[in-house]
Amino acid sequence: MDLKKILQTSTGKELLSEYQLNLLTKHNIETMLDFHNAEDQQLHKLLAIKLESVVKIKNELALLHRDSERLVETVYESDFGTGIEELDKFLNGIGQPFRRGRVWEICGETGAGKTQLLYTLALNFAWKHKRQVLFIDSKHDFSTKRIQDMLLERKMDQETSEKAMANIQVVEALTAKNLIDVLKEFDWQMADGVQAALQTRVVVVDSLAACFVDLRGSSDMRMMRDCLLTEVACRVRKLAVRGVAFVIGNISFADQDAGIIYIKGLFMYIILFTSFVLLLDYSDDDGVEDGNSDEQCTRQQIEPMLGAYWSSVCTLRLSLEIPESTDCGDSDDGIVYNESQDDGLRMVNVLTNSYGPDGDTCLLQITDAGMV
Amino acid sequence: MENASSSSNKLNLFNNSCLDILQRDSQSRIATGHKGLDRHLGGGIALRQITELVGNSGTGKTKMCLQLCLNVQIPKSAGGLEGAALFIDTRRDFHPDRLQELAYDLERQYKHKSPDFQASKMLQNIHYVSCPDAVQLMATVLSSHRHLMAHPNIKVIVIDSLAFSLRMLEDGAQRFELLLELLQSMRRLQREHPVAWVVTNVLTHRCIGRQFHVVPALGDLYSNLINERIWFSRSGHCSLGKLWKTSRLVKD
Repeated sequence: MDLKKILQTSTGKELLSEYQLNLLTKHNIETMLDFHNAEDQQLHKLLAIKLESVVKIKNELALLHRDSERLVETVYESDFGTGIEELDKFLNGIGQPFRRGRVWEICGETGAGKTQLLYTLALNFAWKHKRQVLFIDSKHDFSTKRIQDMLLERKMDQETSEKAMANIQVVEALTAKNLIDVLKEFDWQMADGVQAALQTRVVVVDSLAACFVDLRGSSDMRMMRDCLLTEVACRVRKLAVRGVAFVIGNISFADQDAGIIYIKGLFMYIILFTSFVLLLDYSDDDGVEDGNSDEQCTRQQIEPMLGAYWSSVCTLRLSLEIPESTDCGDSDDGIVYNESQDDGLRMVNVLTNSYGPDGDTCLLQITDAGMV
Repeated sequence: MENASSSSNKLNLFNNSCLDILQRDSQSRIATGHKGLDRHLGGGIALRQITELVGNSGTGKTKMCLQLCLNVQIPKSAGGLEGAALFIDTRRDFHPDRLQELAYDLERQYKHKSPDFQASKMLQNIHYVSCPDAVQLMATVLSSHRHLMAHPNIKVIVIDSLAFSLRMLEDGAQRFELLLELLQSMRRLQREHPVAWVVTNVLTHRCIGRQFHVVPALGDLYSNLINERIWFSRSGHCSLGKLWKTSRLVKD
């Protein structure tokens, strides 16, 4: 496949035919590199063209190659930045600017604003860098309206908006297998040099948990789930090495929700921190209980889904939390009805960070234009 | 070799941009009839999504379900989907009279645009299944693809109420397993058919830290898997959002 590029050079177009390309393949010259490294004499004989022409083609190829290299290099070098000033500042401080090859996980409870943050990141990237974002949607959930609303709120003109939106590519992956297929295909297309794949530097997954909920129950299923999770992790890491940055959404649970018991059943190696949760699961005696249970009664413990193994895959794991509000009095209807229910403040908490310290927090504000 | 196998079942990753989606599907939504809600939802509830209606009893959830069953039938000439509906009733709380009233209202509303759109026909297009317990509910959801085969124009399936039959089960683990099983088959069906699921849920109390909070029943994982949650309050207001604290009030 690669060799076809020779035909794109002006000399190549004049001199080489499809037949000659096939000849080359037959003699184990399969890539541009092979062609470049092959002896001039050999090529001269094989293709029955003049020696000077061979040299000419090679020179042109070298030029072509350097151009593409340079193009790729400039993209590689730049830090992407999240486009959220506050967050960028914060992340620079902990050695985790948003750049190529980073794998981030954003977890949070339902309704905390994970999706809003993911949309913001995707849109900021597509808009600022004029490059493509691949948005992997696992719940049939992608809403163009939300993107549109964000663009409207930012007072973008029609043309810029359309360009930004055209740069957000959406693909659906409803099961773990689909997700793996998508990642595989992306990998192949990158290897094949498909322009669209090379242009894509950021992949957003919303949300990973939904891909895995169907795999549960029997031990076979559990094994399958672990297998698939490992495969996803490998694929993600492989693409990260190629320079793609990942932002992956995941759900986390607070307190004694059924979800935790469920996860506990599924992941034998999950480590639970709250003594509260341990109390719920009598049959289990993995002896994690230590003395620090007092503080945990007051502060909610957050536990992202997908277990301990997954937590080691991401280079940065951010937890999006709603700061404790001062008062939540309940009315007779059970809920309080007031106009300003949500002040839009969210706390970003660094759970794990493989390039710097963790445990720091930063405040963000949700607005109609996205996160700021 | 790998390349060859990939091209046979080629996944097109890069031909479906946000812009393409925007230009393609402005139509495939079921209007709720509530102006503010329709505006916030971008024209109504979406096909291939699970929409949950939550609120205390008497706040209009069931009415909204019935309304959606009717609205899905609005003729294409009037900008509707011209579909049919499947109503799964777990509480034996289905009143045909109430439905008929709503149907007459809708007929009046569309009298000028499409005179053929009549209440009696509307009622024929709503298929009804009663599922008094969780096992039957499970069976119905699992076999709903057969309903869809027989009536391919079904565009909305309503479960009123999802929480009711599940909460009758005493064993928490069993209840949770059943819920996930239900969600799995609902999601599977969505993958294959352009159909919207509408489920209703109730509010319950949960102890978080040392305070009791009012939250929707059925848990967090379930909340994550549904696509949209609409809150109904006694004062007649609607809100959108997964969490009450972060939901947005919908103005008329």
